[in-house]
Amino acid sequence: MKSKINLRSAAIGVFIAAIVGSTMQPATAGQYEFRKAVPGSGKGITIGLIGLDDAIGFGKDVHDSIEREAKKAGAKLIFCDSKLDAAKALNCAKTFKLKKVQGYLNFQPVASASASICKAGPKVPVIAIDIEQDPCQKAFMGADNSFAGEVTGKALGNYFKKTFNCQFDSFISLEDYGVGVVNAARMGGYRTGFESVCGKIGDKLIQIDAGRLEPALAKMKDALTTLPNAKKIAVVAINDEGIQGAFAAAKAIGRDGDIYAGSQGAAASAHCDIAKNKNWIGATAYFPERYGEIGVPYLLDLIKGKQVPFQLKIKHVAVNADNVFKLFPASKAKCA
Amino acid sequence: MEKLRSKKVPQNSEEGAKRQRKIPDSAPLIAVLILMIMYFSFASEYFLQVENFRNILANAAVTGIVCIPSTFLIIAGHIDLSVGSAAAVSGMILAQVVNAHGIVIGLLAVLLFGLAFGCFNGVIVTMIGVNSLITTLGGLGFLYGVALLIGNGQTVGMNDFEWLGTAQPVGIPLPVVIFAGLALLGAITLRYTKFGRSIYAIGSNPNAARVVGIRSNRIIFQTFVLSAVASALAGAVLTSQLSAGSPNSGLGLELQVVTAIVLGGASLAGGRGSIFGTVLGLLIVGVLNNGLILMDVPTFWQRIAQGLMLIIAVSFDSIRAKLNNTRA
Amino acid sequence: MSTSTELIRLEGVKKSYNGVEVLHGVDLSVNAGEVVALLGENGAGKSTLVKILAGDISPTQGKIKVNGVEYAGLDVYGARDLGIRMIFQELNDAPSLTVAENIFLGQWPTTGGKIAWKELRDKAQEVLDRLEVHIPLDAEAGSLRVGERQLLEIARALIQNAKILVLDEPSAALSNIEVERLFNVMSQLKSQGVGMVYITHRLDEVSRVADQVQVLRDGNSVLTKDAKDVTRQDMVTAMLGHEASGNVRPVVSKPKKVVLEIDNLSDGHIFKDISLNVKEGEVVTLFGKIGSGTSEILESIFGLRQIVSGEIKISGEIFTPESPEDSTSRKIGFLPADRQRLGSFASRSVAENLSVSSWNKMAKFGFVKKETEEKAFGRWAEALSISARRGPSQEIATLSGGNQQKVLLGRWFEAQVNVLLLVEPTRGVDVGARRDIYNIIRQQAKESGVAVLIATSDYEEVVLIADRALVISRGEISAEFTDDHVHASNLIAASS
Repeated sequence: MKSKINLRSAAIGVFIAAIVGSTMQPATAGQYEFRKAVPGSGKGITIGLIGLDDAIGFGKDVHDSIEREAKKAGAKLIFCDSKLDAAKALNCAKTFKLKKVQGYLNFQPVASASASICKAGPKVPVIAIDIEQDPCQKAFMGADNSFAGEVTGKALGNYFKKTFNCQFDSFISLEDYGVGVVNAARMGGYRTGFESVCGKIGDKLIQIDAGRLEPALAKMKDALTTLPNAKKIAVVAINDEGIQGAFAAAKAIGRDGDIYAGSQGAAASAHCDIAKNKNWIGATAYFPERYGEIGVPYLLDLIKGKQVPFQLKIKHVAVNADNVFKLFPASKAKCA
Repeated sequence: MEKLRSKKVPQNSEEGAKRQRKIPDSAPLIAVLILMIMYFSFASEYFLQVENFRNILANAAVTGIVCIPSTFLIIAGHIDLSVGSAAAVSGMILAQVVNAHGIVIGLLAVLLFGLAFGCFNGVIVTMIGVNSLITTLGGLGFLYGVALLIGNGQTVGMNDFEWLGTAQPVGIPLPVVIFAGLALLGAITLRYTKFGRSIYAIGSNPNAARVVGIRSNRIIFQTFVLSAVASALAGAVLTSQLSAGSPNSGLGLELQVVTAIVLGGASLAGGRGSIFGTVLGLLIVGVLNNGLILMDVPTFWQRIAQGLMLIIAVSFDSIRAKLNNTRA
Repeated sequence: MSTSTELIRLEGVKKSYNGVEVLHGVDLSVNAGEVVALLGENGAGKSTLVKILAGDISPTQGKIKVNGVEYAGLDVYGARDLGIRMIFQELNDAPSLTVAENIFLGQWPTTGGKIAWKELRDKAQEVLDRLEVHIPLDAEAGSLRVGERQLLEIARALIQNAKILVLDEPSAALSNIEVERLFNVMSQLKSQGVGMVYITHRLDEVSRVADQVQVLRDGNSVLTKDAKDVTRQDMVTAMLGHEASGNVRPVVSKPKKVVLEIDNLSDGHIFKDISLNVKEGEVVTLFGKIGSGTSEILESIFGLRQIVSGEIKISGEIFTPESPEDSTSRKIGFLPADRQRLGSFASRSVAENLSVSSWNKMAKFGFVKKETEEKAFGRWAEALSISARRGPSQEIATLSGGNQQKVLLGRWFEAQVNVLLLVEPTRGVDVGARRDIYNIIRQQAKESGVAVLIATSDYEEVVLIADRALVISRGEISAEFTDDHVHASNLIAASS
């Protein structure tokens, strides 16, 4: 049924933008390094994972990494897909209780439903992934949107400082107001990072509600038309897609040399563009494919009664043409 | 093909014998359900636990509440695809209104929404004469938008109203009790009342229904209202279970509903179907989903298994129909 | 003709369903250029026999020889390859395609993947010429008359090289002119050596068209004769197994009280200025050829069609028919000509089909008891001799046409209507059931006082049932006959 698919993809769009750290925690200093699971550390232990949705790339990457690490540790992982649906997540929690899991990771998308889900599930340690799971979460692992913004904002500032001595015509910000706090944190982070190198942006800031591919493609053309003589334009977007749209728009009117871009995500689908396009200055990686390297070892620690810090933040790295294939070696062959 | 014309009305005993030879409509479904339960009992140690059956039923209940009037509609040759979005909107309304004005007003608001939206569908289908598939496809779309609008795209937490979704009088979840009550009421209505039989007549032959004096439009209108009210109730139960209204909570409900009903032997062409069949269809889907999760089947394979299951069960039904035809 | 080659020979064909034998060893022989009329009441085994011929079902026992070669059994494709084709009463065409396209339906000639339009049109024209049928090639099939569409089916069979045509009651839905045309086509086919099996209920057609007559009764072949040596009485006796009474006029009733009164009714294009009345317990017929407007008049009275002027009174009160729902609540019943489309609820039981119009009366607090329905069915099953082998719960679609019609008739008797409008009440119904239907209509009129108005194109029917006969010609009343003046020649003369 066609319309259903459309609705669904619309829903996924909202979630994709919202998933990463939809509930803001005050930024703390600590960024936790990934740590590979210790073989045998999970022997005889059963853990669970309530997934976001395996049909979404990000969710599947997180699932796969947790499964990989659990296997390494020797723990038994029971996976249950919420398929973006809190009701299914509730059912997953009940199943976990039935199956007597000793601890679980929860990536279900509806923060306000977490109390019901906690109540229905077993009374064991829980680590929330990217979305708060009150009141049963013993730790929260996930992205720091504001910090992730700063990482790339700083990289972009450094580029402008080196190349143009911090001269720039405009600072275009492709935002997605639909995801509220996440948008504010990410886009604000860019500005903080950029300004820390090149000083105040002031009235050179242009904000456009065009976070995803199609709107970015359409609205970026208009924006460039209003800046006919600008040759040094900084562009940041809430995720990779927005920048892909922006470059497509600029290329269509022959001005892809005028924009210098930064994004967040560094998803596999953007790696080739980042490697080839020298104007794509940086993209902050979230490393969904390495979530397991935090989630699994810390959950096992909790189950064994060890103390674990509440905030487990992913280490964010600015990805660019120089380091993209070092960080993501698997992408190299695909881009050739 | 009758062999001899007979002046006598057939005797009851002869009729009984003939009936026995005919395979009942629900036989293949019951067989599938029993086979599935047997298989999962062997395949997973967790399956045969009281707690697990409680889970299966509680999960089926929300879909089931919507299934009852939807069965009416499908038998009458119509369909309501807006049930999922209507449930989502009612969930959003409930969460907002309960937080602001309390449970009673919240439930009234949801009921009012159900009545109003049902009337809307009814007017478009029976008075303006738009095909019900198109009408409710439109409803599916615009109500989803309304659900997103109410919460500004976000979910809305709801305070202190968990009992509707989670209470367990005598160990049975309240939604299951509600569903069972509605199913019983629905079965009686469909089987024994003028209203229910008219629904079969309308679905079997809408033109003839007019000729024999059945007020088809009125009945279709009323059934659309029932469908919307049941969707609203389902949305309320779901929201209470989660303590949160989510615009995405009813997503895909319409497909689950249609699947269960068609699996239960109803014909999308109208005229055939029963509440008992729908309940069996619902249980088959529910047991399958539960069993696959308990067996840790990867999600992509779960989807494949669910699709195949539907095809197999409906094929069984066609085979049964063929067997009965060659025997007649 | 006796020298012509034998195309088909069935010998000792038996067929059983679930151990019940329905054909007890039937022979059938069809020669090239010969028409065999196959007669029998519904359930006599005609359909089973021709289904075996078409390869639809295989016989339990017996031989099938085609062109002298014996086949153990035929399947549908085998039968097609041998040139055996069925023409059914129901049309199997595509109404939105043209005449030429329909003649080649599914077998359009192509050149390099594209339809070869010239070839298609030429060949279609050729086959229509061969049948001496004049229909424009570009007309949409749906715009043609039923009879013409049936001729298209025959044309299609010829394009596919038919050697043997089985025509299953093709004349049932045709007007007299169309029947004439069909017979012309059949004689063309005969001269071209095509063998035909012609199934009909109209005995007067037999002498017109058939060379051989074969009558089936209860799965046995009871009469096989040259058509010229057989009388009408022979055929009826063979079909029924006993002698039938002739076309005797019923004892006419002379009531006083007018129930249905119609004054200058017009619908703007099909009929105009129709004035008539039907009294309590009276049976009035509107006789006219198909297309003359008789059925449209009844549909208008019932509220299925718009009227532009005129007045209808029921028991003296003015009645404006707005919808069928209104009419039924005013105790008017309507039996449509098209049973499948407007009459029966195919997937529902006979008891429910019979009771559906009486639910308001039967219901207590909205509940309708099954026993009440079954009792009602029992009453009318007996009165109308409805044979439903599986009893009140049998699906109506599994009954023969005649029995279905009886159920639909019983529906309105059970509802105790004051006015009963019947359109072609015995179309497609066999001789025995026809007699039952006439008897019950007259009996009910007498006992319950229901005013009955019948639209029909069958003059025998008029003679057998009418207290009074009105004749419609081109949408207007052309004559009224009573008493002994109601006979075939008067009716036919007034209707043309």
